[in-house]
Amino acid sequence: MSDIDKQPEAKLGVEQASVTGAPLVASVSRRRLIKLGTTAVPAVATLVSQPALAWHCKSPSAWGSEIINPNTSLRTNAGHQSYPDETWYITNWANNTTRSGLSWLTITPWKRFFNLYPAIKTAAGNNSSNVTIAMLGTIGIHVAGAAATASVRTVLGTGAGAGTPFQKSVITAQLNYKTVSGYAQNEMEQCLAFSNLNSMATGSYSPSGLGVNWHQTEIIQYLSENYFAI
Amino acid sequence: MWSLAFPEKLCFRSWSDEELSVVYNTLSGDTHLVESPGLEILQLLTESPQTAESLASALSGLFQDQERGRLVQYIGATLLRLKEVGLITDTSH
Repeated sequence: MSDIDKQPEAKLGVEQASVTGAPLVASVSRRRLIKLGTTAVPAVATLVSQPALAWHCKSPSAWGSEIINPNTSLRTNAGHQSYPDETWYITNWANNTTRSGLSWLTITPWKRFFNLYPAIKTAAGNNSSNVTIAMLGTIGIHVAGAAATASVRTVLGTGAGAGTPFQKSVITAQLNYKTVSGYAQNEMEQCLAFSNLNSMATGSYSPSGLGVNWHQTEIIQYLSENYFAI
Repeated sequence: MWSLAFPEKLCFRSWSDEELSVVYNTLSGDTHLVESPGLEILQLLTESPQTAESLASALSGLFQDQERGRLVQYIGATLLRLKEVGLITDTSH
């Protein structure tokens, strides 16, 4: 990190970065060769961190508590951070469309999915319509009652072969979790773990500490009102 | 297997000595300082997802000592640093 210490004015203004479709790439004509064994790993540091809007969600227990007793501080969102939602809708996944009006979620969901899961991209012939329920299973996405060979986009759609509202909801929630969680604009993992979504996908889920059991209706409502699957 | 977190949203700028570069993430608004070969790794990942091994092979010319095991280890450590700041993601999960 010594190189960073030597450059206290390394903070660049945003206006110096050219925002184009293709990133500017430094030339590689260089420089002294790196000597392994005497060199620490290269410096990688965040110089300027902008506060970014994340999305709005509550844990299953918090949301469920409010449903049971509306007269709590949770009603005022005390202690919870609220941001605009930032996930793809069920229809976006079904039709591979983007969401308008978002500051950053500007690519299609399946393009993002294929970037992250090249093995599935290959298996599906780079065609999102060929991604099956079984292929999602290879990355831990579960859905009860859907045929393994069914096209995911067909299940999420409205035509022949469309799934139930519950199936669409849990598939979309898990797809969103796998593709956009963990980034500044989306903190889904702050509300629940992916294993919670797997449990919900079975159709029966018990939020911690509430002493109640959710079925499909409650699960769909939770996922919708917390922007996991709309 | 490693890939850029959001390849369409990263902007790169280098100084004249080309040892250090700046990467601006238009999604998060973060600006990162990246030292070679971190930038070269990002450039290769812009083209396609890569493993640490394939990156080591592609970048071996940047190193004096090209002992395979140490090179892969060094690249692997660099990848972890890039992941920590959110520039790349590990798609092997």
